[in-house]
Amino acid sequence: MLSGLTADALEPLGQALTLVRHDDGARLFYDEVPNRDAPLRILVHGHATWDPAHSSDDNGAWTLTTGSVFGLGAVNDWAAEAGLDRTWPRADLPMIRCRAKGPISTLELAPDRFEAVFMSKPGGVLRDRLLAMFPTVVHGGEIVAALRATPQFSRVNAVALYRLLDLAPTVTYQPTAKDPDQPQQPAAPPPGLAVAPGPALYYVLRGQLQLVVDETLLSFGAGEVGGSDLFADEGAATLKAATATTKATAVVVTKEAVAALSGYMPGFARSLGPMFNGQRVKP
Amino acid sequence: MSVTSLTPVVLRGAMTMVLADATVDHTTLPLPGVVEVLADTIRTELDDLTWVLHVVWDVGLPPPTTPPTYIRVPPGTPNLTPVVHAELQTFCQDWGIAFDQILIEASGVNPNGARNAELWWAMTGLDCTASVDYLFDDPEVWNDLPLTLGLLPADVNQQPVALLGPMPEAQLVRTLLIELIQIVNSANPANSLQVWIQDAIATHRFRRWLRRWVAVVSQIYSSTRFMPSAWPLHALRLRFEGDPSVPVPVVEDNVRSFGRWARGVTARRVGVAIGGAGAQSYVGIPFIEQLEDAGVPIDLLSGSSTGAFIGAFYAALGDRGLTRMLLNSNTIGWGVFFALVNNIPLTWWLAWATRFVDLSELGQPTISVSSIADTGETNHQTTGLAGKSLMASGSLPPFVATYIGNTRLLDGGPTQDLPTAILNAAGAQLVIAAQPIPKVASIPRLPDEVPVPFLTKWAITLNPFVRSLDAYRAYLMLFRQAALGEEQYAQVFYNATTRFSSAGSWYAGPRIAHEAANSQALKDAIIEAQAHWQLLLTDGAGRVRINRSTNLVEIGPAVDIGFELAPDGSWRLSGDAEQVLAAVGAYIASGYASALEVELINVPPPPPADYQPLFEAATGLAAPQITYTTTATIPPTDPSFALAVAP
Repeated sequence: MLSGLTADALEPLGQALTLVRHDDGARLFYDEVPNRDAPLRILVHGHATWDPAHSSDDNGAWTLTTGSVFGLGAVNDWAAEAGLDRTWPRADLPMIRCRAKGPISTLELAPDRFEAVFMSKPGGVLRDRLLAMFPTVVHGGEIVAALRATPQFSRVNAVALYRLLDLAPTVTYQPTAKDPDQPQQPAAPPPGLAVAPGPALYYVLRGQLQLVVDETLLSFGAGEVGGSDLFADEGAATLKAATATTKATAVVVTKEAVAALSGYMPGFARSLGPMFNGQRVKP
Repeated sequence: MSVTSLTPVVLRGAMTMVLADATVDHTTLPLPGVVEVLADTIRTELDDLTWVLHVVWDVGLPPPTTPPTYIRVPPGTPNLTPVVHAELQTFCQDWGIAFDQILIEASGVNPNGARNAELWWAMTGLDCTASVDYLFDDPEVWNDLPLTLGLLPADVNQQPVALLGPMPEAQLVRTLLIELIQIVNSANPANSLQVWIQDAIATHRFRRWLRRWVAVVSQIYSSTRFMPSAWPLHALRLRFEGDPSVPVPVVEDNVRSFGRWARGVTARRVGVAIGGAGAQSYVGIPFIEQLEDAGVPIDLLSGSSTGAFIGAFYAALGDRGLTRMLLNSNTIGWGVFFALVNNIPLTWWLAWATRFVDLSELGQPTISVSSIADTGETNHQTTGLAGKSLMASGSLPPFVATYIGNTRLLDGGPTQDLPTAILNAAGAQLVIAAQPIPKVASIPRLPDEVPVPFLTKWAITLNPFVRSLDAYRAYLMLFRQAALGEEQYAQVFYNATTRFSSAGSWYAGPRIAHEAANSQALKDAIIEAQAHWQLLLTDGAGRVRINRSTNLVEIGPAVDIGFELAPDGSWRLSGDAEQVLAAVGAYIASGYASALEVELINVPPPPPADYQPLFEAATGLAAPQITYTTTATIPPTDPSFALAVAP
């Protein structure tokens, strides 16, 4: 989730973090909505569950693994209290159960240090990144389920898709011109995760997105996944950024995110695509 | 022409560094030899092009080879990270296309594990998939890693590798009796007894027996005081057996361990889940047997209730365990009957039948699923006495619950009857599941035309026999529904279709197993599992590699090697082809091959000669370094080309 950020941007956070070890079975959240009092945590070793109350998906043993950042709700609450932009409404957040599976080690940022870290000049980039990831985390279960219904990710297991979501920010699209051939950059591209025109999949959280794929105008509503072919040739004339006729919010999975994950998850690249891809024989 | 490709082109193999924790006895684990054996196993069993790199001090080494065998580190280098990282990156760039797997061992510069962190950090930021296989022999070592090694890079895949000790002595009483008889029958019993006692004291045999029995008895009666720590769920488990005085574990004695490790390194682990449904779960027995016969390996097992029994019996005893389950269905049935008031007798039997083994001692990790009564959450048990965990997994109300420590556990069925998703978390790339419950058989009913007075119907609804039957059948229907919900996480899903169906009649277990073994549904599932396993063995979609033994550039499935029309109407190379040619061109330019051979297949007009500039531009090679041939296929296929390098 923090990949791509510069050392400068991470330095204030790094100085304020403390290493904490939690025993097997420790409950970090239990039927509660993580709020302003919870620390921001980065899992540096081990695994933990993350079960939203509204999830019908079976995550297996864990969702959180090394590198997972959680407790973003606390940062969002703090930012809302501080009157900052780019925060998300808190209504209807699901209750969470989060439990250590085996002993885990986390780096923790205490809530009383948020201001010092996130209001510092370099820390602002980090803050914006975390806020951009917050809805992705909240809706992780449903996004994973939707991705598994696409041909590209039908064979990828849920554990890998949760890791992919660590690289998929939520972006707000402001209403744009009527002409869908005039793609609009997102109003607030999250730092380091700018969603430029290019191959991407969109999971729409709110509103309606439009995208030209193979010279066809496609429209996606809330709860739908759509977008261009992530691995199509660069030369193909399908790669436009999405536009919105009304304000829309979407989680964006880019080709770069998929490529990055295949760099550190053995077997991930092999599991992409439908079965027949693996059986197709070239002359 | 717009090309649809659902996978990226993969031009470089994966790098895996094998490190052993400082607490491991390095004298009994010679990593150079062990890693070479692992590489051989990957080559022979999985047909991957594999290379081993040894990180050593640059002192008195033979001249470099092509490709290099050593990463040469200047003696006295204070920090290994930058030096080793740069060398690995160079190897990855130069030779990544020629290998599927590159194994790295660094005992030459790190003989006792003191520099593990430096070497681990050398793996970050490489241009290929990077993993560290970390060997340790105590779960706490893994848990304390942030304290001993500090923070580790998140972009390097961590694969814990547990080194199991020897299997604990089983059948202590029988062994003791045999040895005492031998002593009595010896020429000098007194002397033999004295030697036997001295030997037992010297080897701490009595202490081991005592510890083991205390651990077993205390766990059966619900204590967790002597329960061992759990290995990480996704850990590979190795047990090296055979002559301990041999420097490198002998392959023949350790085929299973090296096989499991090879599949772990290459991301090809196979997990089998067996659903819980009382005697009906006996369909899992022929399922496992036929998977074995079909050559599908089993690296992980999971199950709930009787499904967990079958998994654990198989992991503990192999085929004998399955036979034991078949032969003892009546025993289990009686144990279940008594479990209405007390399940300790059945716990004792399960512990005895699995040789008092602990789940943490099994080479094939076996996940016994139960439900935590107080919270409704799933409990995945991977440590503790197998018999006790199995009893917890099978404690379906109205049978009594099982306490492990102060946690009251119920049958795994209510929360996860067919634990498939857990196998993904545990590292399985191929999940094969056996759903044991067929549709419930229909019961004869009266046609609506037959007048039945309401009072009669009411009497029937009060009939305790009918109500019990309804409750029993409702359980089956619910469990079937729950198990079917887990289908989405399995690549192969066997849905039992036995006509004779019974969850509660344990005596019928063997009959159910026999019927399942001959059913078409099971045979189809096995064929499907075999196909999936074969698919895992083939190159992954998108993979391109240069095979140095044949000099062919092997193009995996889903790589679009061909041409497409540019907007101006001319032909150009596809995007995938551009990538592949650039990588092959760089390989030749580095001097590892002398020329590129291109076979143009069914190329459309204009003449083939006009395509040559495309190849020169894409590869960066001069015209004399590329030779061309043309081929036409019947029937004609899309225009494409094949590549080979000249040594």
